[in-house]
This record gives sequence, C-alpha cells and structure tokens, in this order.
Amino acid sequence: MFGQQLLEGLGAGAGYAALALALVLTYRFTGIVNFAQGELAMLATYVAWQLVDSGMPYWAALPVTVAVAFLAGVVTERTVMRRVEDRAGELTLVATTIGLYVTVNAIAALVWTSALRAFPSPFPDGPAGVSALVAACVAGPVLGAVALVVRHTGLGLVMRAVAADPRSARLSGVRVGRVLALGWGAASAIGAVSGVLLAPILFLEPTMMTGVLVYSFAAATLGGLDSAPGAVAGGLIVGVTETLAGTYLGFVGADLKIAVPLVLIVAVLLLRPQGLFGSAPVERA
Amino acid sequence: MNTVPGLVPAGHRRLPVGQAAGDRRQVWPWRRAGLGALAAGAVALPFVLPPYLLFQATLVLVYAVALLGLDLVVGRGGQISLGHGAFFGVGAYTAAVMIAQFGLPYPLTLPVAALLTFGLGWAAGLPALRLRGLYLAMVTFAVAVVLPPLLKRFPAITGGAMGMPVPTPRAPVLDDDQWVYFLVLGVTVTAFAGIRNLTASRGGRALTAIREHRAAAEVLGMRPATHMTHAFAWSAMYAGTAGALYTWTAGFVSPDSFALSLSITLLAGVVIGGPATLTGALLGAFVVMGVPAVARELNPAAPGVISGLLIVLVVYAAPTGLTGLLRRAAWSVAGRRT
Amino acid sequence: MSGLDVRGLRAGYGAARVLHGVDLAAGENEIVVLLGPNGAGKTTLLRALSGLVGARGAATLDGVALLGRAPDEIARLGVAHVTQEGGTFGPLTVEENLRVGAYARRRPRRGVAEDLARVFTYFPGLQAHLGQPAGTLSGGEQRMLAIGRALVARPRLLLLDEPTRGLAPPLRSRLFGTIHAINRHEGTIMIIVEHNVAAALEVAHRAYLVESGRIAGLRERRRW
Repeated sequence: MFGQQLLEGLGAGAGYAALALALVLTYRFTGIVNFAQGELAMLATYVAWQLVDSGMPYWAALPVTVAVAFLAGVVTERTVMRRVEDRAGELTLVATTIGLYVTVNAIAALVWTSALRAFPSPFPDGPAGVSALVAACVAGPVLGAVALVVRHTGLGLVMRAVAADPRSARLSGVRVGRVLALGWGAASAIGAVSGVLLAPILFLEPTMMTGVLVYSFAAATLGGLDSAPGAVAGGLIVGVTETLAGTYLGFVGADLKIAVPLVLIVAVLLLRPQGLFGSAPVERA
Repeated sequence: MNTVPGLVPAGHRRLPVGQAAGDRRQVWPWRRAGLGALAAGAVALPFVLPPYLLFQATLVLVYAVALLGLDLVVGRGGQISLGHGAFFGVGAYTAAVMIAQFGLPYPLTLPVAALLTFGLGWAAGLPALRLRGLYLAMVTFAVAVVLPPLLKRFPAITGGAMGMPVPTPRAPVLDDDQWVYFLVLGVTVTAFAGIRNLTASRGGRALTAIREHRAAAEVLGMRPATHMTHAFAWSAMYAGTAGALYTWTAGFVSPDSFALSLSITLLAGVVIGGPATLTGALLGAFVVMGVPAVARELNPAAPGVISGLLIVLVVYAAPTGLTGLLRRAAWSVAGRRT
Repeated sequence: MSGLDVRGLRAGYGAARVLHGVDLAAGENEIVVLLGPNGAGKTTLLRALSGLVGARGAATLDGVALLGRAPDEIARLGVAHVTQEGGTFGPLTVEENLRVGAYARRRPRRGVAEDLARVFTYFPGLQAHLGQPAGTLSGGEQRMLAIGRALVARPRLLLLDEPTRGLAPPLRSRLFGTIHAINRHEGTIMIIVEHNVAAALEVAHRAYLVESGRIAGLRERRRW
C-alpha cells in the first residue's frame, strides 16, 4: 500500500517536475517566471485530447502535441513577450504573464467549454502506480536530453549567454530574439509533457493546471529557481509528499492536498531561500 | 518688487509672489470645491438612488477600501500580490461566521477581521518580502488557490461549497440598505484618511524610496524587508476590512467568490485606476464592479479574462492608469504643461 | 571606400539629444581616440555605431551602412563593442565566454582554438582561469576577458569604451601596450574612448575632441 502510494506520488511528481522544469528554463532565459506556463500546457493537453478523440493513436498524438506546443511557445514570445521584454520592472513582466494566463484560459474555455473530460491513459489496464512509473521513465530521458543540449552544445551556450546578459550577447552577434523564441518554445513543449502526464490523473478542464502550477512553484522553489536538476528533484519530492500527506494525514485529506505546496514554499523561503540546488543569491541587489 | 506673478528669481533674496506680490486675481479653489461636491454627493446618494443601484454604490466603496490596501503593495511598493482576493475572502468569512454562526454583533466583526488579516498578511509577507518580488507573487498565488478548498473543507463552520447567508445589519434609523451605505461610507472615509497619513509618514516615504532604489534605501538605513512586510500586513488588513464590509452589504458568502479571479480583478482595479493615487482606488473600484457585470453578459468565464487583458494593456500603454489620463486631460484644459 | 566613415551623426535618448552632427573617419589599421569631458557624447557615439542607440545621419564601414540595423546584425558585420560595464557573462566560464565571441564570425567553427590561443598571447593571465566562471574574476581580468571575446570575433572595427577605467596604473600601461600590439598584428580599426589622455595619445593615430555632442577638435599623429 505504501509502495503504491509512493509510485503514485512519483508519477504525479514527474508531471510537476516537467512543469517546474519549464518554469526554470523560462526563468533562466529571461528572468521571468511565467505564470501562464501551466495554461499553455493545458492548451496543449486539450490539443492532444482532440487528436486522440478524432482517432489518432495515443503515441502518435503525443509528439504532435509537443510540436504544437513548441510552436505555440515561439509564437507567444514573438507576439506578446517581445513587446515587454526590454522594459525593466518586474511588475510589467509578471503582469503580462498573468494577462497571458487568463487569456489562454479563456481560449480553452471558449473552444472546449468548461465540461470535465476524461483523458485517455496510455496504460488503461495496469495498476495506477505502474502507469505513473512508466510515465516517469518516459519523461526522464526527455529531460535528460534537454539538460545535455543546454550544457554541451553551441546552442545551449548561446542560450546561457543570453540568459546572463542579453545586451552583451547582442553585441556578440547573437540573434537574441530567435534564442528567446526558441527558449519559450522549448519550455512550452516541456510543459506540454507535464500536461499530458498529469491529465489521466486529473480531469481535463480549463482550470486543470492552476493547481499544478502551485505544485510546480513549490517544486522550483524547493529545487532552486535557477537549477534544472533541482526542478526535477523538487517535483518528485513534492509529488511524493503531497500524495503521502493526502493519504496519511487525516486533516489534509484529498481536498487540502493543495495546501502542501504552500507550506513547502513558505518553509523553503524561510529556511533556505535558494532551494536545495540553487546557487544564485536570491536577495535583491 | 516683483510684479510678474509666478516668476521667482534665483538668488539669496526671495521675493514675494502671488497674492503677497499684489496679484489680486481670483484663484478658484478647485480642490476644496471638488471635495465638497463629492462629500455632498456621497451623503445625498442613498436618498436619490433606487435600492439596487445603492447596493452597487455601496459595493464600489467596499472595493475602494480593498484597492487602497492593495495599492500600498502594488502602487507604492511596486510589487505584485495575487492574494488580496484571499484576504478579502478571509475578512468576509470572518464576519460571516461571527454573525451567522455565533450571533455576535456586527460592529465587532470589523476589528476582528482587521486584526486577523493583518496577522495573516504579516505571515504571508514575511518569508517572501526579503527576497525578489516574484516570490511574493508566487506565495500570494498559492494562498489564493488554497483558500476556496480550505473554506469548503470545513462546511460545519463555513457553510461549505454552497455558501452561507448572513443577516445584514439592521438600521436604527433609515432603511437597512441606506444604513449599511452610511456605515460603509464612514469606514471608507476613515480608510482614505488612514492611507493619506500612512503614505505621508516616514514609513510611506520609505516605501517609495525602497521601490525606486532598494540598495540606496538600505544604505540610508532603511530595512526594506521590514517596511515592506509592514506595508503588506496593512494592505492585507485593508482587504480584510473590506471583506467584512462586503458581508454586511451582500449578506451572502461563498468560497468561489473569493478565488484567484477576484485577486486578478483587484489587481486590474489598482493598475487601471492609477497606482499610487487615492483617486485611483475609487476609479479602480468602478472597474472592479463594472468588469464582471459586463463580462458575465458575454461568458461566465470572462471576468478574469477581461481583467487580465486590461492589466496588460494598461501596464503597457498607460502605466499611470485612469487617474494619470484624467490628470493630463485636466491639465490640458487648465492650460498647464504636463 | 575602406574604413569607417561617419557624417552628420545625430543621436540621443528619447527627448534628450546628445549628438548634434558628428563627422569622423578611421582608416585602415588606424587607432582613433575620442577625448572630451563627461557627458560630451563619446559613449553615445560608440553606442550609435554598434546599434545600441538609434541614430540618424550616415555611418559606413567599408562602404556598408551601419545605421538602422539591429545590434546583432552590426556585430555580424564585423563591429565589436566593449562597453564601459564590461559585458562578460558571469555564470559562464572564461573559455565559454570566449567561445561566444566566435558566434559573430562568418565562419564560426573554423579555427576557434587558434583564436583562443591568440587571445592568450595578448592576455596570458586569462589562461590560468580557463574553467572559472567569469563572475569570479577581478575587474581588470573581466575587462581583458571582454576584450578577448571581442577579438575572437575577428572584428573589422573594435570599439572600446574606457578600457582602462578603474585599473591600477601598471595594468593601464600594459593594456595600452596590448592594444597597440593588437592593432599592429590584426589590422583592426579601433575607436577608443579614454580619459587617460597621455597614454591614449601614445598609441593613437588620430584624436578627436568631443564636446557637447560635436567634434571640437582633431589632431593627427604627426602634429604632436
């Protein structure tokens, strides 16, 4: 029974880890925390559902969805974020992503209505824990590949340069706009993975990812907002903690599991603001 | 002697200007006349408006109080809080539970709601405000998402997902809704006066200094984290007080009325009304009232959307909000350069 | 038409006009120094050339127009700008910083190792810190890293904004010696903003005096 819970927690945790990774990637490229990351993932998940519902097999719909999400991320950066990226002020940036959040939410509600839908699981007959574990095993190599790209390729180098100092990167001839668009596309694609992993567990509806966003904030904060491995570790920890707390702590129950990430965030900020693996000092200069 | 009004020559001798220099032109006391008219209008309103409109006017005042508080954080502090809808909700439910479940007299609910939300604001702000602004946004986001499930979890106290009706204050004189209007008006005026004092005080000036250049403020001896946490607690208190007033006015609370979309709408109100201004809170309150009403005609999901879009638009195109736009219009009419 | 040719350059920041019509030229292999009081517009001039600030008028490098292009485009045309703030990528290592410089070149992957070796001949101190994050280097070392990165790009025009600012005197003269050597070996056209007049005039072929957004004086090498 405990093992079962653990597996479920890891499965959910993989989903949180993916969204947290998307958040961390966007943060590292642009210094912005994208409040709309979850909503973009939700939109992608609806696209996946639509494809499967129209007859496409699950394992074919998945890469298509990821590709669509990538494009959506690129388009978002080119149209919306481009206009505010150069302006200083966290207020403007966060406000823009919040505006994005509500807009994407509205689009989903408009197109697919707020009706709850069941999302097909890739392994409909296995026990819940197994499918979660397999999902984690699928996600793992994907995330690992991303890490490799960032660390060891020229593209990754240029992305890190843009993240460190966009102006100097420009002066070095880097097409900063393209790099940022690419970064948003990649983050959006990873977020889509999150949505697709979690949709069989949650019901598919427009506010599906709002709660997940809170879990992912906790994961990213716990792992360190500038640490990609931290995001993954944080996601798994949050997933397991949430599932175990829901089962074994009576007053939490199933409804109040959402309070767990809030407590985690506050605890981390009080005790160790840079998270487990984060390095950058988080105090404002 | 200087006979050109308004021209002050430099140098160690300050020559008299304006009326002291012999300028006998009449200067219309715009400000006082305006405030007087506003006061007269406010007092006359309940006798002029039909009950449904009076209800809406009262709600405008309620939201103005909440926005005054949020403005401390957003307008003057330059930070984002996505949790003020939750503080509003906590205040509303505090009043509701006290009146409906425990039968306590309604005046008592104001200080209790205020104190409780002050404390919650302190607790929520403390871990985040030592750090980058986005942590406050994250923490308050989480708070806003957690509140409705938390309220639904204890239906015995809170009435659960279906909500809870609350008896509204009975009036010793006048009609009930007129009486509530005057109560709310009294609190609102006090709130405005309170904010004026707060911002003119050392703490208020410290906030502006911190917002403009945190490092310089620190070097000057201010402790940004303490000031910001203090301001955040005050702002939460304002939101909570407004929540209690909401319960008095509406007579009904339900968990989903105080969800994330309320926080976003309040944020829109501050941004659109005009950050760091008193009139902004009032103008923004009209936005907070108006947007959901108009938006619901289109689509039940719409209020949050329109608020969100408006936020982006205004922050980008007109950062000084409606107040800024109106000021510019007034100045151009009066012939002053902006 | 070879070299840099600037005519009637006007630039500013929003409503504040800083440059009011600047003419200057820098030919093949030349080092040109910009002197003048603070606020004269020297930094703005460099920024106008590298595209960080919008400008009107005319500026061509080897006949190719520079104005009206985005900074990264101008960088790929062979203009390298080392700003006053330095512009190193803190979290990246010294080696990674230098490699980013190769991005602007027309044949990016060829000969990067040779370019790094060249940079180390000019700035031997950098080689010792190859794997270290640039943010951990001292101010002077970061300055040299920034110049080194600019060199890896094999620029046609190198813009240096107060390269010796904040450096101790022995480092200053060493840096000027290196600048002189770079100019002789690479043939790069250089425009240098400096307050250290005496040292600058030692290496410069031409010096412009900038005052209040205009050229107030010009000295060629033979004359002093």
